[in-house]
Amino acid sequence: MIRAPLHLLASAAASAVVVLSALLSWSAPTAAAADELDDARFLTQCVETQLASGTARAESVCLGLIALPCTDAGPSADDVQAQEKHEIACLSRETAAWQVAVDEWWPDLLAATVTLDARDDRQSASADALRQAHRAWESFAQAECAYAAALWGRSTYREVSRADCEMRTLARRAIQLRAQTGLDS
Amino acid sequence: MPRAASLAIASLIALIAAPAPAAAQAAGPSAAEMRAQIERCLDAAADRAGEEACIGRTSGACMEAPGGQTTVGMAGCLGAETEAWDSLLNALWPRLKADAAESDAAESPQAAGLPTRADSLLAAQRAWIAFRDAECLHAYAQGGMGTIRTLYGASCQLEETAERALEFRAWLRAPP
Repeated sequence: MIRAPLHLLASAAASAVVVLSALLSWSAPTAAAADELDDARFLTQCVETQLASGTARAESVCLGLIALPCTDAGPSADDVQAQEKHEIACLSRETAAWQVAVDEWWPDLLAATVTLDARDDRQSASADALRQAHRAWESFAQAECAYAAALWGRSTYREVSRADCEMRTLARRAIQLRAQTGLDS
Repeated sequence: MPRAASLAIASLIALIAAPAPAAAQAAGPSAAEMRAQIERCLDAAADRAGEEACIGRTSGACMEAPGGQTTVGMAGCLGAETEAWDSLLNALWPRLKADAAESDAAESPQAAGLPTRADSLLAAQRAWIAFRDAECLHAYAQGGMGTIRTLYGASCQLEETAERALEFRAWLRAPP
C-alpha cells in the first residue's frame, strides 16, 4: 500500500518557502534558541507576533512549528510502526502545547465577555455563549478527528491521521480564540 | 437535500432573524448569482489562500450597491452569500458521502469493529452544525445590545459556512 504522506508534512512542504521566509523576517527564536523555550511559549510568541497579519497568516506560520521538526528527526521510514508511533508522539506534543496556549488565553477571553455582559446588564449572556460555543467546538473536534481516522479504515495510519487532525483543529481554535481577545490585552 | 443542510439553512434563518428577502435582493445579486460568482472565483484560485480570498467578496460588492449600506441591507448581503456557500456545500456533500460509502463497501471496517467512513462523516457534519450555530450565537452576543450584533452573527455564519465548503473541496481533492 502506498502511504499518503503525513498531511502536516505535505502542507508544510507546500508553503515551506513562505514559512521559512516568514520565520526569518519574524524576530523568532533561532532553531537552537527554540529548543530552549517551552513548547507552549514558543507557539504563543509565534501567534502573538503573526496575528497582526491575520489568523490565516498565524496558522500558516505557527501551525506545526513543533511537530514538523520533531517528525523530521524520527526513525527510518523502513520501520513503519516505529515511524507512526513517533509521528503520533510529535503531533501529541504540539497538541499539548496548543492546549496550554488555550488555557492561558481563555481567562482573558472570558473576562472580556463578563465585562461586556456587565456593561449591558445582560446576566452572562455573552459569557455563557462563549462557554457553550467552546463545548460545542470540543464535540466537533472529537467528531471531526474521528472522521479523519475513519478515512484510513483498517490501516494503522488512522491513529496518525487522528493525531494530526487533533493538533490542527486545536491550533486553529487557539488562534481564533487569541484573535478574539485582541492583541492589546 | 441532506438533513444537515436543511438544518443549516433553518438555523441560519433563525439566528440572524434575516431581513425580508426582498430587502436582501434589492441590495445586490441573488444567492444563486453569488454562487456562480463564487465558483468562478474558486476555479481561478491557485491555492487555499486564493480560495479563502473568495469569502466575502460577493457580499462586499453587494454592500456597495444601493441599499447595501444599512444594517438591514448588510445583513441581507451577508445572508445571501451565506446561502450561496451553503448551496455549494450541499452540492459537494453527496460526493463526499459517495466516496465514503464506496470505500466502506470495499473494506468493511465495521467487520473489524471500526467505525465506517460514512457514519463518521455524518457525525462530524452534525457536530460542525452544532458548533457553527453555538459559535455564531456567541458572535451575536458579542455585539451587546446594539443592532451590530445582527451583523456579527451573520458574518460568523458566512465565515463558518464558507470555510466548511472549502474544507469539503479540499477533502474531495485529498482526504484529511
